[in-house]
This record gives sequence, C-alpha cells and structure tokens, in this order.
Amino acid sequence: MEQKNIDQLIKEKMEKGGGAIPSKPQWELIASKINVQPPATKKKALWIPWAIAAAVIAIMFVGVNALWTTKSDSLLDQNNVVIKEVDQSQTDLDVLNETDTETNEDILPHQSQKDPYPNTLATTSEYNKSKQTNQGNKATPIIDNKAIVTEKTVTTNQKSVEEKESKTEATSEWVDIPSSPTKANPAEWHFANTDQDLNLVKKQFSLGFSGAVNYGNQNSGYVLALSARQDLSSKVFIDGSVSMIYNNSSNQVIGLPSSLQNVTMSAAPVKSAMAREAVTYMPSVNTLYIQFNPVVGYRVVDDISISAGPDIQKLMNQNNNNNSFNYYTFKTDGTIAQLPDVDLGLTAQTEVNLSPNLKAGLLYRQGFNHLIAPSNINVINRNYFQFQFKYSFGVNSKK
Amino acid sequence: MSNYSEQELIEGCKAGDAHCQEQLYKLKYELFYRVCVRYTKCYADAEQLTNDGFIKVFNNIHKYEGRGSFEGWIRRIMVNTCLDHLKSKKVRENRQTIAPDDYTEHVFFNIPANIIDDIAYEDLLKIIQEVPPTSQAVFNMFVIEGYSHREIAKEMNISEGTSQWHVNNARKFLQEKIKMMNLEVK
Repeated sequence: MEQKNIDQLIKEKMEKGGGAIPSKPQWELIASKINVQPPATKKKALWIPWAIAAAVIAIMFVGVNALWTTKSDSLLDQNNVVIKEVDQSQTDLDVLNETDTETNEDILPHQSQKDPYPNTLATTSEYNKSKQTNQGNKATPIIDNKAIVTEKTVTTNQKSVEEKESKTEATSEWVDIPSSPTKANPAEWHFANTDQDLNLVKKQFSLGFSGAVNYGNQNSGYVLALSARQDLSSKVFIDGSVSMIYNNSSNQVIGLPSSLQNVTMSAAPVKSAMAREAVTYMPSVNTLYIQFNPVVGYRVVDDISISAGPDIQKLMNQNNNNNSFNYYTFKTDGTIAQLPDVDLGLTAQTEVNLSPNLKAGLLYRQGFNHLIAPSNINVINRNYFQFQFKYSFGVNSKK
Repeated sequence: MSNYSEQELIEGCKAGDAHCQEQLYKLKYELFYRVCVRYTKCYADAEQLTNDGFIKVFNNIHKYEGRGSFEGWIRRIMVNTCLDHLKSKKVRENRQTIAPDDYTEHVFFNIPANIIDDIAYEDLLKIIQEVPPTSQAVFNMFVIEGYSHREIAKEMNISEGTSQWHVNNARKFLQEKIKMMNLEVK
C-alpha cells in the first residue's frame, strides 16, 4: 500500500468526522471579548505621533528662533541700556553734582584710571536702589551704594554734565553727605563692568532631582530622576535627565521565553488564551526602564517654561534562570504586543516654578516604536502623562 | 440555522453586528472544533482554542478581503491559534522533542489500507492525540491541512528536514498504535 494513500485515508477520515462532538458553542463566553468597534477608529490614532512630532519640531524651531532673537535683543538691550544709562548717568551726575564738588572731581579721575572697560555702565536697578537709599538716609554716600558713572558716560554727556553743573547750586536736597568716599580707598568702589553685573543675561547651570508619577497605557509608575540644566539665554535652555522608571504593570505585562519571539504576531494569541497560559508558566512582571531625556526648553514667562525632546529608554528587567525573556503586554484588541527593549519616544513638558528651587511639571511621552520596528514585530508604544516635582539648585548662579 | 448567506454574515460581522457574529460562530463552531481537537490532547483545550480562534476571527474579520475561501481563512487562524498554544505549552512542559535538522529518511506505512476504514473516527482521533505534541502538529499540518514542509518550517520555526522527521515520527507512532488496536480487536 502506498504511503500517500494511507495519508489520504487518514485525512478523509478526520475531515469526515464522526458523531456529535463533545462540545457545544458557547457564544456568551466570547461575545464580551469581541471588539465590536469598527477598525476605522484605530487608524485615527495614527496621526497622533505625527502631530506630536510636528509639535516638537515647532517648539524646537521656536526655541532656536527665540535663542537668536534673544541674542539680538541682548545686543539691542545693551545699546538701549547705554542710551538709558546716559540719562541715568545724568541723574547720577545730578546727584554727584549735588554733592561735594571736590568729591566729584576726585571720583572721575580715579574711575578713568581704574575702569578697564570704558563702555560699561551701572544698572538702573543699582542706581534706583542707591537713590532710594539715599533718599531714605541722606547720610549714605552715593559711591558706597555703588551708583557708578563711567568715563564714556561722562564723555558722551559732557555737555549735559556741564549743563547740570550749572544747576548744581539750585539743588539743595542731596547736599549733606558726611561720609563721602575718599580718594584713598578706590577699591571699595564697584564698577559694573560685566554682563553678569549688568544682569543682562542670566546664564545659569543647575542640577536637580525629581520624583514623578506616571499615568499611561502601561499602568501607573514611579520615576526618580537626576537632571542638569544649562541656560543658553534668558529664554532658552537645554536640559538633560537620567531617570529610573518603575512601572507597576504586572497586570498587563508577561514574560515569554525568547524561543517564542518568532511567534507570528498576526496570529498572536488573544488575551484570554495568553492570560491562561501566563498564569501557569509565564512570569508577570513590573517593568523597570532607565531613561535618558534631553530637551530644549523655552521660558514663556519667568515662572513657566515649555520643553520638548527625544526620549530613549532601556528595559532593565533581568532574565530569569539564564533564560532570555521577552516582555509582552495585552492590547485593547485582545492581541499582544512586545515591550521594546530599547524604547524610543518624544516628550513635551511644561514646568511651573513654585519657588526659586522647586518646580512642578506635567510631561507627556509618546512612543513611536511602531514606526521603526520591523513589520513582523508587533511592538507597543508606551505613552503616558507624568506629574513631577523637581528640586534644583544653581551651581554657578548669579549672586 | 442561519437564514443569512455566508457573504451576508461576513458583511454583518465586519459591521460589528453581534447577531451575525453569533450566527457565524454557531454555524462554523463544529467544523473548526474538529480542526482544533486534532492539535490538542484533550477536549477542553480544543474548546478553549476554538473560542479563542473565533475571537481572533471576529476581531480581524475586516482584514478578510474576499480573496480565497472564507473557511480556509478561518482554518488558518485556527491552526495558528493551535500552534501558538503548542509552542507555549511545549516550553511549559519542557517536552521538546529533539529532532535532526537534516533528516531525509522516509517512513512508509506498513499496514493494510482497510484497517484505517475499520477504525472509528473517535479512535483514530484518540491515537492522533497521543502522538508527541510537535509531531502531532506537523503531521496534521502536512497530511490533513495540506501544508508543504517549507510552509511548516516557516510557521514552526524549524528546518524542512525537521518537519519531515516529525511527519515520519508521527507515522511510526500511528502505525504501531493502529497495529496494536487491530490486534486487540482481533
């Protein structure tokens, strides 16, 4: 007898079947597990990652643009300050002229010799502070309160000075200054001669640590992070953080031996079947990711900033018994998808200053692994919102 | 029995009509239960896999574009569901059969053809369920479903030689069991 015929006979026998089967259809068991929603809804979600990517690009564009604008503005500001400070210096000179003429004459030559930056100026705030102090306590000398004039100011306003000098006698309010600076102690004089002194650009490097809570499609999680921030201008900054993300996801994530990694995902078991199997031999796991998240940020106003950047995460869960495990999670349609070992995404964040050192933040993270994964691997995107508090401290902050 | 045509049921299921889904499920349940039962060791597993397979059918029916037989499309889903079950179970029980990759030997049935005719369906099914799991699946795919060794190798992530070995392994097993059964009957 030919083997093929025996095979054929067995096939016919099995397909023909026998009597009644020892099982009946149980529609009630599966009805609730069928996703009755039309598949069209799934396609709608596809624009979300692209929208987020576009938003990130837009934010980065705005950030870079703002950086350049701020630089230009800084130069303009400096010029404006010159103009303004000329006026201020006139007022300073008013004051100086209102003081002892001899003292005033002493100051200018010293300043001229000492000041290596003839283009620098005193700030308005310093002047105002000085003026307020002097108004409150006329015994306090102007120089002690760092109200400074510069050679340039004096030069460019020589005419004005002369005019003011002519008016000196008419002013009597600032005459009584008993402790004027002396020629012998010029070291006490403070000359505003750097950007930092002028407070034009607050470039600051700061370190911070933060705690956060995640809410997303992979259950809740907790985050601890260390971060560093460098201001590029008064508006723009870059920030980088390294975080540990612990996801309380044992209800959703199972580990499968890597020998099953070639399971055809289009035929992936449905949730019920996988859950049934998982109970018996697959470990349920809480996942642990380490995250690196560099961002570019922009201060919208003094206390509110926005930032965006790429997000790279690495799954840290260790293998059991030297067996290589891949981790899977259940999707809403009942199929399963693999948790990426290296997880790529984008973040967008807004922060609010609660105090000089404490910030509260809201972050959204969108994974885009499905865009880069091989077509035969069904990967999950870990999307979540994160509420965080960050404590930061300046390393070279402005004094 | 359903008053709908198969095409109407398909369209209804694509639209998410629960009534059409129920009708299709009840109409095809027995057919595909008989497929699943050949890949399992017990009726309970077959029942579970049939239901799991139908859930996948309904959740993915929008992917069926009308090309080829609808029953063939469902059958493939059922077989894949059974294979997934087998793969996971194989690991769980750590009962993987070590098979050579370059196997080329052919095993021939050495039994009269009429013996097959004399065996009841339930008895033959019972024998097939006793075949080692992987060999059982490969034998079913090759002999009953009509897969080629290349297709089996791809689906099972094994070599074609291994697939061939499993078919022959199943044949040897079945031959011995059928002979024993025949002797007992006599």
